[in-house]
Amino acid sequence: MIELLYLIFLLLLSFALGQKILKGIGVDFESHSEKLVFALPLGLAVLAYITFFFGIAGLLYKWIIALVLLSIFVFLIKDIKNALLMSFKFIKNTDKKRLVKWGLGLNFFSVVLVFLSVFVLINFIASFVPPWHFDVIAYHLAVQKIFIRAHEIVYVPYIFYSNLPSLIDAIYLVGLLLYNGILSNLLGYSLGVMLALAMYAFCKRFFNSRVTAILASMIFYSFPMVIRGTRTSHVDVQLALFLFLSLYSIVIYFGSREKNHLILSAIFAGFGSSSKIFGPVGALGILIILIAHILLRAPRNKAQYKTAFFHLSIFCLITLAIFLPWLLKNYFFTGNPVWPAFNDFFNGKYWDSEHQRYVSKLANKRELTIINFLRLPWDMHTQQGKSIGNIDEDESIGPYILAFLPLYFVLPKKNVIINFLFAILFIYIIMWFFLSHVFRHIIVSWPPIAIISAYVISELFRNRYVSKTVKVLLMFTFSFNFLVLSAAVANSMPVALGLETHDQFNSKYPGSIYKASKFINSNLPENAKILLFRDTRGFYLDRDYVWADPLFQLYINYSKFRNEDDFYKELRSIGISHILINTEFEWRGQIVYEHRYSERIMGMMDKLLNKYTVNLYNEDGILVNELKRK
Amino acid sequence: MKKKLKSILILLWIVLFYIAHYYFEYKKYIGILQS
Repeated sequence: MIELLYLIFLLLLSFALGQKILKGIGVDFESHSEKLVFALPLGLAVLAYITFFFGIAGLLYKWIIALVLLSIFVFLIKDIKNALLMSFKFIKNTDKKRLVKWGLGLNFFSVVLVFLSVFVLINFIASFVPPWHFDVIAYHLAVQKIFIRAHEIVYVPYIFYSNLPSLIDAIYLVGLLLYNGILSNLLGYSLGVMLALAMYAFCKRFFNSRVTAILASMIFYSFPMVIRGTRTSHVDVQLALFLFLSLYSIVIYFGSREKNHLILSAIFAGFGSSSKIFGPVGALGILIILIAHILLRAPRNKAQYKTAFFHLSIFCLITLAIFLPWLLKNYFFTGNPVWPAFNDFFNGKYWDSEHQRYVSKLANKRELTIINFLRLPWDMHTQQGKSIGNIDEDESIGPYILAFLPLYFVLPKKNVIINFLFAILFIYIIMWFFLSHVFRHIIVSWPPIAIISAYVISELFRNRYVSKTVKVLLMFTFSFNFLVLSAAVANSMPVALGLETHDQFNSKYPGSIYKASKFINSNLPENAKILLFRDTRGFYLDRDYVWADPLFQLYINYSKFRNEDDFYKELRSIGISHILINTEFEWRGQIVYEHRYSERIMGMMDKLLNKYTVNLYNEDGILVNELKRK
Repeated sequence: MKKKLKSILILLWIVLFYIAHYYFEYKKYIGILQS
């Protein structure tokens, strides 16, 4: 529960810092919810940047970062006091009678509100689970742990993902450094709640409808794919938050033409770009919308052209300035600022065009035909296109896309904000079509999908013939998604509620790799260096390790080895002392894969194991072998 | 009458695509529920 104290401290600090920055750029929101949803993520992202810069300087020590955060806390103590007073005042001034009427009156919206509260609460409890999801313990938190062990943000040539923009992982770094992975989960969870609240605030501002606002938040927060990622240290929902806040500010800018909202939009576009490799794509969508808006307003004279150009430049420069540290980090580490893209051009380290081609092919398996483009809405709705590579096998977002979005066009009244959301949705789908077939990579479009659905549903509620059936169908979906959430968190509840120890839980989830890591930590010398073969989950290791994955790294370049002797020599030259092999590793149902663990590589490893290693551990399909000295 | 007909068509549309979604996705949902 100490995590909770750290969380309150970090959230208060982030909010106060965010408020200060908002004041600095001249943005003042009247609504409390808008203040919160903009200030808190802004402050938290700035804290992550501060930690990132200390990491680059080699000062990644818990006491240094804690001291820095405490200094900011003291500096902002007045703002923090005001924030606390504001919260108390907000609670005191809430019209309790109305709230009771709203809450206790058994109507559709009170039920939706209860559903939303239950989802938020269950996710909160489920955040108190030690990290165990594959991507989290393979790289999101694993890379941060490498930085913490080195007290510096170092170059990790053998983990592909460590060289991608990773602002959200830097937020998790703050949590991991100050206390543990659960604190990182809680920070990710808080940003997920902020996104639901941001969608509420957006609908409240632009549609002035509490019904649409609550529905939009609930629809988004109960998407099965959001359920999966919102309580762990993944980055997708949090990326969607940054880009949604950028979109939100740009819509305010379109209405007010105030430069400060444009600046705010650019800041969040910069944060989005810095969060994931698909972040810049999301920011590009917002830039396209901004250019279209400027062109549609058709500047008439030189002064107006000048202003338009000035505003466009502000957006681009601020976004780029925020993104720049990640480009520079990559440039100094790999020699290629946009690693792994255009690597041949920049002559960057440990990557080649062949690997880039394989990885790109993995991200986008679809054939770029008009038919495939036209069937995208159907494939997103039913995921039927997975057999032809038009969409990846993954969880979905529910039945909203085709059931509700097209009905907007038969509504008697059109709304300019919804038209705008359709435009951005269209832009994102076009970009996604060319870049990826993984539905999660277009998460930036999900808040608009939820908002449009909520708007259409609210309009349909006016029709007494349709209203009841739609409410029943929505209740079915929310109940069904509640079941999905319950199933997803069922195994986590005992440990989250303190009925099971972390060790007992991790011995089951992730299980074998945790137990093998424990063996290594207790039995191998401090200076041991482990090669992870057919597994990449190094988070629980307290020893140095290297990914052996032939697809996602070129630090160990298998094409150079003629036989197991060459392989052995290379391993010795990079200081490998032990090899961990997960014999049960499979990837998409296959063990041997042409561009990953090919028969040649597997054969070479078998020979190396027989000739040059001694087995120390063999449990649950995981071997730990010691590399003999010649 | 026209409004009623439009409402029926809207309802049919929603129900049809609800069924389509759950018909094609139920195996995945069952997989999540069983996990």
